[in-house]
Amino acid sequence: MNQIYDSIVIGGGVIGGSIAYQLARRGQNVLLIEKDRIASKASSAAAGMLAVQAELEEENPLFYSAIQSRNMFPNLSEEILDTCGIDIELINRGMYKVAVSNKEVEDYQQILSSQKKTGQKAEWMSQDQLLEGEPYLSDEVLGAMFLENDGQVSAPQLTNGMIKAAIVFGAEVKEFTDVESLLLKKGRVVGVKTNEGDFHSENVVVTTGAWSRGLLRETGLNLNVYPVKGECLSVTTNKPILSRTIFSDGCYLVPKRGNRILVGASVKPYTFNQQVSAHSISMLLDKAIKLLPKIKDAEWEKAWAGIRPQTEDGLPYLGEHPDYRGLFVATGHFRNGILLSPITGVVMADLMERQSPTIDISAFRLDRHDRLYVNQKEVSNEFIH
Amino acid sequence: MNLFINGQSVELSDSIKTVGSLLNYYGLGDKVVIVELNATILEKDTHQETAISDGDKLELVHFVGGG
Ligand SMILES: Cc1cc2nc3c(=O)[nH]c(=O)nc-3n(C[C@H](O)[C@H](O)[C@H](O)COP(=O)(O)OP(=O)(O)OC[C@H]3O[C@@H](n4cnc5c(N)ncnc54)[C@H](O)[C@@H]3O)c2cc1C
Repeated sequence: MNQIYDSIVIGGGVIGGSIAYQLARRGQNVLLIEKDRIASKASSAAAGMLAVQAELEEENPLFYSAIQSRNMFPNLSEEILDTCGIDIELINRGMYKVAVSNKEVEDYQQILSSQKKTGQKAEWMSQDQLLEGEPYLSDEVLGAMFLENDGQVSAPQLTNGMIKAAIVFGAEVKEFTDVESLLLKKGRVVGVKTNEGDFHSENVVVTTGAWSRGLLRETGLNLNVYPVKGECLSVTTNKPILSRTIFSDGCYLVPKRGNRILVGASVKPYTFNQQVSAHSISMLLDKAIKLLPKIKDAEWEKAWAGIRPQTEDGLPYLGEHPDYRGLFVATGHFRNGILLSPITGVVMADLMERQSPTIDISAFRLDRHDRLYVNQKEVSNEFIH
Repeated sequence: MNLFINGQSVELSDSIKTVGSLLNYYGLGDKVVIVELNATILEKDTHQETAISDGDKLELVHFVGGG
């Protein structure tokens, strides 16, 4: 009853899963607590794209960490398969960021040349070259950046896989257990209080995604994490009609195993409501049909919504609480949590083992918004992106 | 002017007078956006001229080519 864990992870999404996996693999006695089922929130809703070059700009402090994280997937995929038999469905065929206007053609060619200069793989494909590989694409697509290294995984498989692998390494998982508050004592954390009783550890990491703000408020830390709802849908076809991910402004199509195509995504900030609106889905389908007309013949599968954890400046929070030793936070990965999960797991496990992490995480400090917050009005129009 | 956007109270400059100018302010001017004004969904071609005023409730949904 009075067992003391080496570490407690709060939240069974991809971020909590990755940290639990790393800690358990290093021999720690880990407890992961999830208030619903594991992999039931954002981490099961995600499209699973590993879109570093398609989504992030090189000036973004996340860019090089994201590259490193992306490179960790092939090994991770094998480790998880060997450890617990779950296939994360890593597909490394690359992504097309497609241009549908002359302005996009120009913009993307510019991005492409700057990415090539810093050593990233990126090639321009003319419309003819593109249609050769993807014959069902609409001729509204004028050309594309081909990003060979931006792969994809199944987000729910990855999340489940990391948590199941952690269990093989000895981690304990409690589902339907809600952490109500943190147990704090003399400037340090000593455990958590849940609806199922108290659990003890001097190392606790909060990975509760969009729901992180409330839990940390009692510690005096006002993290600026807020919810951004996203809706997606999927269809299936008898024969493959798409071989690589199509990334466009306003819509993406991700070909999954078994001739499924996943189409995303809407953006609605400040809501935890996970209802799917027919209007959003009809807009998404319209966009998908414009890019890939043949998707009209596909069979409807399903639609769903997830809540992304966004932050005021768009960067995640990674680090230790400034006032409570042993209390760590890893959240705010917004639309890149799947991509960033491997590096986040390693960095947080390093911090929790009192080792210096291999990447610079100063941009992700928990107390950075103290300064950022001088003029809240100025940043308020960021909320919608 | 004070608006409620997706349930959040937002203080905006009075120079924003229409749904069109609000979308421009958020950088969504040339994007597909579903706009609901005081519980009514607006037709897309009316965004430019539809006036907004203090206390209005708006729901905005847009679409992204990213996770
Ligand atoms: C539509 C959509 C598409 C996306 N596509 C991509 C993509 O292609 N690539 C990519 O990299 N990312 C993508 N993302 C983003 C990605 O899903 C998130 O960044 C990531 O899942 C965040 O993981 P998380 O573990 O922080 O959050 P979550 O998965 O939400 O996990 C947090 C968990 O904490 C639990 N919890 C909360 N409060 C408590 C409590 N008090 N006690 C116990 N447990 C608690 C919750 O129940 C939840 O399970 C997408 C997101 C959406 C919505």
